[in-house]
Amino acid sequence: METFNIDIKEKKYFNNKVLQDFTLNMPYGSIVGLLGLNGTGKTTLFDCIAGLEAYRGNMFGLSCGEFSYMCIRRNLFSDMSIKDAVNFYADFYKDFDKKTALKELAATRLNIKQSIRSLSAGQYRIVTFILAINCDSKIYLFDEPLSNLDIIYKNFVIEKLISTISEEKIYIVASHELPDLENVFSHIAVIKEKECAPLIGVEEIREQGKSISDYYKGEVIC
Amino acid sequence: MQFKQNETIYTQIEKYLKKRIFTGECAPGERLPAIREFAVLMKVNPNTIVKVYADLEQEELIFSERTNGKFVTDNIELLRVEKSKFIQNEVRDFLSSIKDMTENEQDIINYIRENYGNV
Repeated sequence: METFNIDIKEKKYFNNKVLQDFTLNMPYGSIVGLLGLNGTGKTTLFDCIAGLEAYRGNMFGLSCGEFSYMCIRRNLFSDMSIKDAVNFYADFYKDFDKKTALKELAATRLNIKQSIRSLSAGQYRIVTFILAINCDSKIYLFDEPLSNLDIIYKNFVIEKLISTISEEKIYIVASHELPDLENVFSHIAVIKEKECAPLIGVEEIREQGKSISDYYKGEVIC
Repeated sequence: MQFKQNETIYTQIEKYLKKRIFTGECAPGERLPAIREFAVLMKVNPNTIVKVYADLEQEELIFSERTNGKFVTDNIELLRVEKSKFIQNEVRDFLSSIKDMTENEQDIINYIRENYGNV
């Protein structure tokens, strides 16, 4: 089976080592819940995959430009309107599905003439989610896709994830909202001590009579 | 649907679907929802539904028609047998849940009589 392999020998900010001997292999078709205490390097890992941060190591099974990243930072130009941002994506990503993105934005009841600056935290998250998921990529990185969202938007995100997952894609989702997503994940990866616990299937965890949060706590504490 | 989190999701959906089939909510010969549609409805990974359908097909409770999707079996005899197995399983679960308090058969039968019709 085709996989995407991450092998980061070392990633540090000045003298602060964040990731060391970090390896993670994910099969295509998986939707991986990336868990870890705050500050363990989930966002750093995403930045490394996206090429926004330099690191020592390798990645296999991904060529340049084959990923789509929903970033936790407010990285869209704040003077743009939502519509400008959509056009910006359509210009830069050749497989961006503009029609669907506009349709979904209309369903969120946001005014697409509104400026990015004026969006609330939750509104901003839903806009960037719609932009990221409608790029036709192989690897999708979602950093806290559900944070700040109300129930309706949350449902939209979860249903969209379920209905777009495919054998040719990998979704990596960093989230602390386990109850909302644990049934959607196919695998769990826990970052601890600068490394990554081996990828494990969610049903494998439940077969042992444990819940995902039991497993997570067990991995992080010991 | 609320899931127990320390039990596999596919077994819980299998049970749910079987119940629907045995009560007739999903009638013999009726078409089941498409995999993705069912996954969105249950808010679970589509592969979980693939596993559920595969397991129920193995038990011959459902069958596939190449391009048309999955259907509930119309073998009434099989449904009758499987339904009785299912109910007996439920009864065993119930008995083991009260085992620590009473194992006296007559007591249990009396309790059942007293409560019959109250549900």
